[in-house]
Amino acid sequence: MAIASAINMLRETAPSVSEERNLETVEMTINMGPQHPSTHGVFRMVLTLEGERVKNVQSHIGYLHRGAEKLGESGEIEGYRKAMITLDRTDYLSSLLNEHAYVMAVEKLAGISVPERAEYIRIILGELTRINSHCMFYGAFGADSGATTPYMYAFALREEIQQLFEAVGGARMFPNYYRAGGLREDVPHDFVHRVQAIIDRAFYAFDDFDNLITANEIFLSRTRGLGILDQTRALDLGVSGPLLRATGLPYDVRRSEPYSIYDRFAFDVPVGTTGDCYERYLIRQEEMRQSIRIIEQALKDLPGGPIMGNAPKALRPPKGEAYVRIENSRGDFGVYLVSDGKSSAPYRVKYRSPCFVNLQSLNDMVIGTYIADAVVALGSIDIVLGEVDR
Amino acid sequence: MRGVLGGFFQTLKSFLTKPVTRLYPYEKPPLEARFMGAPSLLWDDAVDEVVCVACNICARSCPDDCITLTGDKYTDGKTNKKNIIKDYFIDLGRCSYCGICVEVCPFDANEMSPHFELSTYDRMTLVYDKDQLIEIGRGVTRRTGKPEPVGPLPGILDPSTYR
Repeated sequence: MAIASAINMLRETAPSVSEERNLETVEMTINMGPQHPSTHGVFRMVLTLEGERVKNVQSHIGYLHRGAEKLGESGEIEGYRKAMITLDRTDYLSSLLNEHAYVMAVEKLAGISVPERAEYIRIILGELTRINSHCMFYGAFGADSGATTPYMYAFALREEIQQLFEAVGGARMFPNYYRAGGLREDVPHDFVHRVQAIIDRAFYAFDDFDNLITANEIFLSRTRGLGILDQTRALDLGVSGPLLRATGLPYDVRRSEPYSIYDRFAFDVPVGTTGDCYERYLIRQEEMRQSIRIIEQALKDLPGGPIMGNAPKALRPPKGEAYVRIENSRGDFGVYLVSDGKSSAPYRVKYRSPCFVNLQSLNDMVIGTYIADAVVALGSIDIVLGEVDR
Repeated sequence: MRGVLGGFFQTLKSFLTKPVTRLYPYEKPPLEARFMGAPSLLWDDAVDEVVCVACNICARSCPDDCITLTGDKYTDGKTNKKNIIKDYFIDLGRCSYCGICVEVCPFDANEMSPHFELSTYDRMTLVYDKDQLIEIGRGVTRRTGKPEPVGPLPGILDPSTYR
């Protein structure tokens, strides 16, 4: 009770908004980033402040531009395989989901069929990647709103998932495991048991996540009602993923335009009502549980059989183009490939990155809030700068 | 207030459970059997020479252009290969550990080794030459492209085998 009364006392003594307006303040421009820990990478915001309130924000991107698309076009031989290496490293938190989109685009371009087993394994690993990425969001968002402990809990679960990725694909973050037509190699014999162990562990972990900050009053007061994005504005901006679902629109590519074999699984698409930072957080928490549901169903039906389809050894797709979209952990991720029919590398590679589009909503969220809340609003978008700049 | 207390109880609960943290440099974590560390050159014990025939496919397939190699005429006659490598360099500072060089190798001459500890004061030391690549490849067997062994997995590699 002592803490509550202390908080109340602080609230009473703090100047109210109307009082603040009466004070004479001078506009100040401050530079936040690119080397600032709360910008999730190398993102730079130029904030115009009036007192402590943000009057205008100008975002600068491009510090992490590595030319992933151009590098994807430059392979002399094995070009279609090389392009995936650079794609993995754009959104380093959802690498396997992005690989899935890429191989689906190549399969569409070259008319390759994928065996059932490979599809199921892709679903399982993809949903684990989604959990992995949302864990990272949980930790980072906690840190943005002033709690550093969630990182420890999030990384305990991430560690187990990444250990599984290492067992399956040989690397923890960039397994480079999918191939056009299937998978590089079959999963280890104990794959099902290990995934089951992660599922069992994950339920406890999600409860721990909830106990730690979901109902925490300080966290609530930092996030609730902050960074509201209404539905029409979100649709105008082309925002997707948890940001859009928090505004109340149940739009999920897995459901509205099922790709791969997502139409076989039962799962809910969590939606919010107000579209504030807290709801984005809640939606990601719920999505992790829904991912577990999908994994459980996929594990139950996991068929045997080959893991590689009719893919030719040297890939040289016929002339044409393909666009494939998936539900990334951050939103609607698309891969556009053009083949000239001659070379073994794509003629044009284009990634539609959800982070880049979602970042456009920053101005709508941040203007009018306190500078400390701008950090929380930016964290709730869950950007990965590698994917924004590509 | 209840929410804050819930957080405290969670912290207390974790305080009483066993930590999952490993003190890494002192306590080595287990590595999976498929772990992809630095690429290494394999040694053919039967004829006591390197398997590689300097066909240059790995260097051309590398997405990072980190492999440089030169070949030499092979005259020993122990095997029927035409060329043998003279120099072979991999810049591990550029390598992205994707495993493509291993996948495309038509002669099964290389494999990803469990070698990954590359901390150094001089980045030129990350350019591994032929001898170093053979050294980190000792004891590594080719498994890429081969069917998984039936029965129990070779399992987690012993940390004492790190180099």
